[in-house]
Amino acid sequence: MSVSQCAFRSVSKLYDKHVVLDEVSFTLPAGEHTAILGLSGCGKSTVLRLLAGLEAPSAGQVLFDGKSVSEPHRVLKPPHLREVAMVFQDLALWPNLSVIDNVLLGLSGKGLIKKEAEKRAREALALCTIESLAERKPGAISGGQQQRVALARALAVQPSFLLLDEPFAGLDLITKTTLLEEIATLASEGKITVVLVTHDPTEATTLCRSALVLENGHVEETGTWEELRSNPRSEMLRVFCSRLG
Amino acid sequence: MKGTFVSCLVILMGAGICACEQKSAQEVVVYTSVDDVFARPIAQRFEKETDITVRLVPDTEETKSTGLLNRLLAEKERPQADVFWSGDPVRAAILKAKGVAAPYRSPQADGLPPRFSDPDGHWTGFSARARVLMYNRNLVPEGQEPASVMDLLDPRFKGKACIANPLFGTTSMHAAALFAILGEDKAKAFFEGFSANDGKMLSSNGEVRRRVATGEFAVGVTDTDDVNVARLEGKPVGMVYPDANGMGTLIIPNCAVLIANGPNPDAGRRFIDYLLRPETEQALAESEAAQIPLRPGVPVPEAVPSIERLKPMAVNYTTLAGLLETLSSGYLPEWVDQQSR
Amino acid sequence: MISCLVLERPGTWRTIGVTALLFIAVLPAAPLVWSALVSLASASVFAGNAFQNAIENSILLALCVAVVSLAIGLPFGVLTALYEFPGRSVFFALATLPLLVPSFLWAIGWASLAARLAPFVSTTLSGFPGCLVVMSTQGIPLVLLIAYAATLALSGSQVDAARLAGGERVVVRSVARYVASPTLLAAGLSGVLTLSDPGPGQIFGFPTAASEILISFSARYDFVLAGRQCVMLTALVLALAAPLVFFSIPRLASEVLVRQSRKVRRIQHQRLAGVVVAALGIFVFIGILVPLLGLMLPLVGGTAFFRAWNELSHTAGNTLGYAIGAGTIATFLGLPLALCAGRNDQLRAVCFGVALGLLSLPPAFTALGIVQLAAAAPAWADLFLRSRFTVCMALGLRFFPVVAVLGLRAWGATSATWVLVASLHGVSLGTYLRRVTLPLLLPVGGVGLLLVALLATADISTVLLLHPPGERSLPLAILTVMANAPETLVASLCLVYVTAAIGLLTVVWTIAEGRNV
Repeated sequence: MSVSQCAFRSVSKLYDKHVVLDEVSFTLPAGEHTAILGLSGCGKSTVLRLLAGLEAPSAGQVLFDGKSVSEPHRVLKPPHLREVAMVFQDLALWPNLSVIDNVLLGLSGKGLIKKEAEKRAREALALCTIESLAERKPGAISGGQQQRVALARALAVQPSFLLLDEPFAGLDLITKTTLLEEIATLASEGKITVVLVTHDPTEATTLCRSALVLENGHVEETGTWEELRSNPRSEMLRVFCSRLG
Repeated sequence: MKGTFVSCLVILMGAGICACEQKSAQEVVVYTSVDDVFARPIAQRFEKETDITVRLVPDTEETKSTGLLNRLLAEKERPQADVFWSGDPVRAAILKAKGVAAPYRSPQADGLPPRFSDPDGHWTGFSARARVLMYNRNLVPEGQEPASVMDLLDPRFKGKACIANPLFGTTSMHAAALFAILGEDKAKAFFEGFSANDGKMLSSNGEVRRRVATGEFAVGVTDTDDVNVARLEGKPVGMVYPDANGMGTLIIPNCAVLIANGPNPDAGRRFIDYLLRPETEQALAESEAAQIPLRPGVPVPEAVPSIERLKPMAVNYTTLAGLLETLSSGYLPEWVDQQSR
Repeated sequence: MISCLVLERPGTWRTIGVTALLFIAVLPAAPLVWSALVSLASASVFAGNAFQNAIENSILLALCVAVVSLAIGLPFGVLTALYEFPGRSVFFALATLPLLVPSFLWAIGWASLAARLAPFVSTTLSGFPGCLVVMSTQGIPLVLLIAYAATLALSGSQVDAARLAGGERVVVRSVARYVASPTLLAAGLSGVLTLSDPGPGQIFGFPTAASEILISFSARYDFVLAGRQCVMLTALVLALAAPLVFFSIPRLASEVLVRQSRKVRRIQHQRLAGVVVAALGIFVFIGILVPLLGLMLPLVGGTAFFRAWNELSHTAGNTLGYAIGAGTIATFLGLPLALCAGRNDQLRAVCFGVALGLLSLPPAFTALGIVQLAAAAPAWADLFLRSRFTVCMALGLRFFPVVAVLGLRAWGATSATWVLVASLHGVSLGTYLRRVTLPLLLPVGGVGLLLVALLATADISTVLLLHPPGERSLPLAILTVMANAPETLVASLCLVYVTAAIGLLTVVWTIAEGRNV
């Protein structure tokens, strides 16, 4: 792992004059698993996309190890060089490719020889316990299996950052819990920094030790679960914590 | 799908490769406005007798596409054709006027009357059609056949007469001939009278043939080859060479035109020589085209009159082309538009 | 390495790409158009009231054809995509047959049959009604195919959701709304195609702009006048089509939700299957079998199958080659155009506007432009400008707008997230295009290729003006012999052509259905 820290410094993002993020600042230490919470449309997915370099901020900077990788209206370090992998809300599996080909295409930018790429792909599928589905197309497998494929594709590239954008929606409780525990284990073993966007308290607390709460485009509060539970300031967090029991 | 795409690519490449096929050592490219069924046998005979390959490019009826003449005009700078075998002198005259035709006086033209050819040698007339009145025998009793084009204005043919679009083909030439012979006033009176008698304008001579043969119309103006084809198909039709005692029948000769700067000029001249032979005139007379030899003394079947027996209209084919150009921008489109409303 | 993110980002490359591809399409017709524009200042556009009258007739006919094609083609396309019924491949083959037969032949078939049946039938068909019947017969299959292809782009979940909400009635209604935009554009295209076709107007005695332009070409040999008339007609078309473009382009495609990976499956529904069979049967009977009967009645008096078969054997290779070549070239132009335009509504509108303008020009325009270019070019250029490839190229350029519309729709329906994931993983642009984009667009490319192949086969003017001497197609052969060939020969040629076409189309549809395209 080469990146030890990621930070947002006064990052703002506007879409057609609509302010989604307003001078957001936070730091994500290496290896940390952080949940981003907030109401729908508060900018959670935007944070992930800015982190990944898929979009440039309207103001402020995104820093990796203190070096600017994105500045206003410019992405200085392109996405594929940031060692970031992302599981999108809609999974974004390429429908015409088989499961193994989805993972292999995800590895094509790594410059691996064919044998090595195959090996890594099959290892990723095995990690996600879907090796038997290798030749099937996404349309022929269940929702839960599709999510595992998206996860396998993300893990196969051995990222420094794993960004998860509500990837477990619609899964049954057992499958979700199993996946969460597996991700937590893999991420800890690989020392991967995980950022999870979710509405689900179980997901947030199973996978992450800390959280960041966004409200009206600002960071309302941040900290470990213990810190946040002891003194929730935002209504959002109060409701969230009450569901934790 | 992938396979289909690859197949398409292969076919496309094949088409491209075939495009650069080697040309035969001896060939002649002939564009023709003469009906394909009549021109092709002549071309095939030429091939057999001379070992020169004929690449024949026939035309559609003028009302069905933009036409081969436009292709010739557009190719002027570097023609693909060696010869244009025209079914009428008007197109030949246009080629001369636009500088596409080259003068050539064939030795085989001896015996052909000069009045059916261009005085400067740019086109040579041979084997002719005539503009005739075609009638349905079931609708026109014997003895009451029309004798003149003016009979189309007769009340007995009210709503039962037809003519092809006078903006195109031999009908346009016939219209110009009427203006030339009758004068503007009388010619216009003919067309107005035709309309007043509920005469119908059809799209082509072929359609005139078909619809007179079926009895939808009693009488129509068309060419001799159209009538002969219907006769050979056993249709109940008859034919009259109009105005034998008056202004005469319009004779429309085939015309052989040598294209200037064609790729195979020698072969082109040989083909023209072949067309102008008496044997070719005889072959065209004996074919379904039933064309009238212009050279006196050529043997003809019974159904084909010799040129001496007819009274041709006294027209100057060269000036007819110029008159037609004026009419095509003036009176004729107005009349056609009126007919269409 | 060029990131595949460029596919979802604005950029000058899009404008350059669209401009370059449209320039290629317009280039052959440009000299004649330019002469026409230059002469506009000093000469009359109309050369008489006849053209004005003809334009009004043409616009009316185009509008009516578009409406009829939409009203019949859209439900046909939707129903055939959603429901099983027996004999699908044969029905599709018959329903798409009108596209590859020149409209002249349909018109002559109707006129011949009407003449034999009763005078009042001839009178009824005379003028506008006959033109509407024949042109609509050709417009309906175009709209049907595009509605069919657009319906197949739906996911199974969407159809199931509609089914749950209110049964088959809701399914058909929702799907029809979903495919309305591309189908509207297809109906617009079918209306515009009538503007450049003089055939039915000539046969039924209905003056159209195409007939007037033909007169300028074939009776007056005045290219410049023809050019002026074409420019006038095209300007009118663009003005009238602007509302259609502004309405349809933003609604052309909805991005598919990426979890919608389950395709639409046809279901058995006895009542609806019966409706489809009956309706298609009526269309096939009235639109195709009746005029075919008129064309083939002369066979009662005898046949000329040997000669017809001979002609087929000499021209089949060229006919197929020109068709597939045209389809391939159109696909290679149309799909990249769609990629360049992307999801940009302004670029899409420009693409579609130029497409309409090109389709409203008579085919002779492009063809004569190429003939003049070839005559001015050196002999080595004959490989490209005076060969069978030239015919394919001209036909492909003429009809590529059909593929472009299909491609615009297909690209618009892809998910932007696919590109984002690929860019995160460092997938290069070339790899992404080869592994994801091309396979996803191939089915659309296939439909487009087929459509263009059918339309190109029926285009006589282009083939007449451009085919290398001796290399004509079968439809051209039919029209060149029909002037004075025995009726039995013409009828035999038509029968041989139609039979071969139905056979080939049936095979194509059987393969396509088997691959669930």
